[in-house]
Amino acid sequence: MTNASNSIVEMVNLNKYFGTQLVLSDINLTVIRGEVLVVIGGSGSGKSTLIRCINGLESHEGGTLIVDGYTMPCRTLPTAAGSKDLLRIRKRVGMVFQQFNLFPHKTVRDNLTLAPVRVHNRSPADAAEAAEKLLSRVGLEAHASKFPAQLSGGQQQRVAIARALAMEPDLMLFDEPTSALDPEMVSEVLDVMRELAADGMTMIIVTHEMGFAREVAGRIAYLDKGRFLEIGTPTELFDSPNNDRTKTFLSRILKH
Amino acid sequence: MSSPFHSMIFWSRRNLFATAKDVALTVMLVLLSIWAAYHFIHWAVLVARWDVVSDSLRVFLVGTLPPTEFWRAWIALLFVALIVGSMSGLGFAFRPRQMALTILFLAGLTFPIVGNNIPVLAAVCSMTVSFVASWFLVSRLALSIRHVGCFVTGSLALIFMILAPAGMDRWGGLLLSLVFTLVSSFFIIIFGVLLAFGRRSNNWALRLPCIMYIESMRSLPLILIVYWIWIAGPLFFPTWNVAAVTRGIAGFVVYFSAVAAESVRGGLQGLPKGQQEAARSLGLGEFDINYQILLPQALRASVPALMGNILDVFNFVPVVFVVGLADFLRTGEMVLASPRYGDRTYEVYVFMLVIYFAIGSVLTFVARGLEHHLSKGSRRLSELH
Amino acid sequence: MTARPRRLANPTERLWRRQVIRLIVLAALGTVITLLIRALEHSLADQGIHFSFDYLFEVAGIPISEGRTLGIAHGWPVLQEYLPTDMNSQALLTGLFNTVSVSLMAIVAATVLGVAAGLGRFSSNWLLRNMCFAFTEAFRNTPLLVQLMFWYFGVLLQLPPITAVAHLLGAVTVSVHGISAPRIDSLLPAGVGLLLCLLAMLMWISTTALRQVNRRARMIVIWLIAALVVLALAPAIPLNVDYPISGRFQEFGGVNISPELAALVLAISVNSAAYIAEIVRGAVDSLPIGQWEAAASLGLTRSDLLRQVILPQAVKIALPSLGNQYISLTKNTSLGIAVGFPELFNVTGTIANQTGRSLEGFLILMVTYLLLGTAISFAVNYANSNALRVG
Repeated sequence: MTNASNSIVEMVNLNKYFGTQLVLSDINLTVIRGEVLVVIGGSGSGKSTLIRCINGLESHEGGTLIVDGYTMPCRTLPTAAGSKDLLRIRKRVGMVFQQFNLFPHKTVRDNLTLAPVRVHNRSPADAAEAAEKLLSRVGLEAHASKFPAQLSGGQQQRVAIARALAMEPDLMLFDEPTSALDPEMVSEVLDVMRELAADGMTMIIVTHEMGFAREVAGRIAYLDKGRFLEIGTPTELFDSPNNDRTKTFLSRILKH
Repeated sequence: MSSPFHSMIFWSRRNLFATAKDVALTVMLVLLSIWAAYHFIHWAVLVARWDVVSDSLRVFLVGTLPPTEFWRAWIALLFVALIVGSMSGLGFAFRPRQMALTILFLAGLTFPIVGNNIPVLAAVCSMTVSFVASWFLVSRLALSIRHVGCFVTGSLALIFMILAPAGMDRWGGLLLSLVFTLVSSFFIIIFGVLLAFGRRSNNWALRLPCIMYIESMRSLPLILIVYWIWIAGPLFFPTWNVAAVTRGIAGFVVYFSAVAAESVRGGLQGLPKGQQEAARSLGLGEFDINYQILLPQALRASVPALMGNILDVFNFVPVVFVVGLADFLRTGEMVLASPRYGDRTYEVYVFMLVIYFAIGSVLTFVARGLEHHLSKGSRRLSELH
Repeated sequence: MTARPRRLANPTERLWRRQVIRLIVLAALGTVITLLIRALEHSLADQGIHFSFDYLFEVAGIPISEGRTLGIAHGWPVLQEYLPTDMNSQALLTGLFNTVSVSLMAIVAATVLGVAAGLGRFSSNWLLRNMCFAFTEAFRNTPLLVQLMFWYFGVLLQLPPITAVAHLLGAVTVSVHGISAPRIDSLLPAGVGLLLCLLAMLMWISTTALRQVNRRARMIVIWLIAALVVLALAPAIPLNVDYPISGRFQEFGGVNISPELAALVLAISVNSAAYIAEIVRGAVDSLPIGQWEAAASLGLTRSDLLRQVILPQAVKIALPSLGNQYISLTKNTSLGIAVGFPELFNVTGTIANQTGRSLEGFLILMVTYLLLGTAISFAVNYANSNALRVG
């Protein structure tokens, strides 16, 4: 019942193998624009693989994956979409990594302007202006000329978020954005993500931060061994989970 | 669900025809390869006259050694095969099936060349047998490095003693290249280790000369060192009469020890600092620390780099032409200089390149296998921390 | 007390031991050097040879087939052609000129080819990947000297003679007598000035005036100007190349590359390119895969990804090894003696044979090669510190 033009990600019976091991099995998921979806699960459950399929960093073996109207090439279909489609998808989907992955040989400003200049063909001046705005949005306008090595982990991750936003994506993917941060820096990154969600950005977030998930998520999905065991609103999932395994997992995570 | 045909199509779509540029590139490369392969095979099978190789096999293998002394050469080559086999046995397990396949493949290549030359055929067969046997023995009996080291040293000395009476200046061809490489490598590794440890010494009287020596060898060409030792010998000591081979080996050792020292230094640097600290806190003296603790580990870590150095030694042996020795390359030129084979340039050079490439690939393969094999061991060690 | 290991030594003992070792080593070194010098003096005296550098100012009397030497004209040092009536020192300088020119050409060619082959190993095209691999294996596992011989005897000397060869582009010939092409300074001086002005304009436009315009527009403008420059130059290249009817070139108004030089440069470049490709591959491999992923998820095309993200970082990592490779390359020019190319080692050997001055010649060679190696190390260190500064 979701309007086709309203959904930004559609997965139907998605299957993915690593070699002979089934990592994602029969995933059915629809994400509509403006929604914030949080994916939780134990290690090895396939949550990183799931969102990496969405922007093409991993390719799936079976099922359909449609991102913003473009069908992602699947491994076994001979009618493979050329990499032009992949590039088009990546221009509209931004990704934030656990390890930040900033370009260490470029300044913060250059990190932000590189892609708009070379991909969107902006003029360097326009791109720099937009970068300044983005940096002030994440609170780092004073660090524009610094190199990533001179910033703290929290600052680097905020720059990474700004870099992804510089491409003006329709969808933002977050792969455990705070897992590599020292505890005192986690909140500054979560604040930025909170604002982003409040501004109406469509986000798919893989995280362990349950408090944040409860606050921000429209839906939370629990992934276990490559399957969605439960999807629901935060209240549904946290207060009355249906599945036993969900209960065990939540109790283990929420203990501390 | 997916047939092999399907997966082949998918593989080629992904790896060869992904984008328009890719398609053009693949087509161009395929056409180029087909053209080159066709021309080469056409030349090799129809145009080239390979009798030059089979007729000159003796020159290629042993140079200008007089025929009466050939038995010495065969025995020496036998020991060379034993040495190489035992060293491979140290690093690799003995795999009968793969070995049999490789031998069959090589036999298929060599028979056309060597076919009607019975003595050479016998020699090659005996070399192969001894190579395989020593590999088998060393790996099955799990001989330690010390045993193999003694064996190698003894064999090298034996080789020298057997070949020397033939007149060391008459050595030539592949025999010379191999023996030269082996003997030089032996000394190069010893001196390289000494230099590397000298460079780390706390004693500036040891450290400075080592540093100066290593740094100057970095900038000087090998051919300079070899040539000059050859010339300077009579200048310094006119009464000494040392064979050109020995002077050549001395030149190589002088030069490559510095190179090997750098490789060993790299291995030393990779060692965790805790090793030295632990040994020191046990009260061991400097010499003990170096010899018992650091040396074995450093050697293990620098084996890949050292194998690369040995390959460099082998690849630079042709430089001895400046001192009048006839190594494998020189014998090729000698064969081409004779009026009968003057126009066989391509045949002779292709033959030499193939042999050199085969030996080089074997050495590279061994080096890579050792690197892989040894890094597995050290990874396990580091997981204990 | 508990048992102690055998070689325990307290700090004072260790210090004494160190001093003693120091003295022993110094004494040993000193003795060895003195003995060597004594032996040298004795044998030189016995053979009637004196050690001196005066021979450098005697007439050389040896022909050198190519290269330039240093001379003095109107009080200024100039590069001039070498004549057998010049001094030995000038002969040596000619050799040095040849060595340096071969090294420079080979460094440039090897870097370009090597970086291309190294990056080719990461192409999405399976054929290209494996061909680059085959290239590095083939040229690293075979001896450089054999490659050199093959290039010389198997390729360059098999070319047809000058009379049977067509002129490429109307002016370039490739024959067994060498490669020749028109030299730019045969243009009128005004033409050269015009060319330089146009180039300067081009550089200024691309870096400043178009700064605010987006990339695509900038590239279009640059290509237009470059096309205009080429069109303007084309009719202005006068040729004064003379072709004698038979045999070798006697005079030329262009650049003449002898087959020896060509063989040496080709062999050394291709060989070093294989090593550089391996160095580049190792450097790119050592980059965290997150860089590739981040750049790809930003939508960068593969070529942009390589040029803007991967290559700058890889070059920084590879610089020290590249420096070592360049020094090896320079040393390998000494193999030119095998094809008769008159580089420094070859010339020194010839002079030593003529004058009997091997010891002095060796010392000069040693100092020269040490200086060359140090110069390259300095240049690479400077580039390295520059690169590191950027972050």
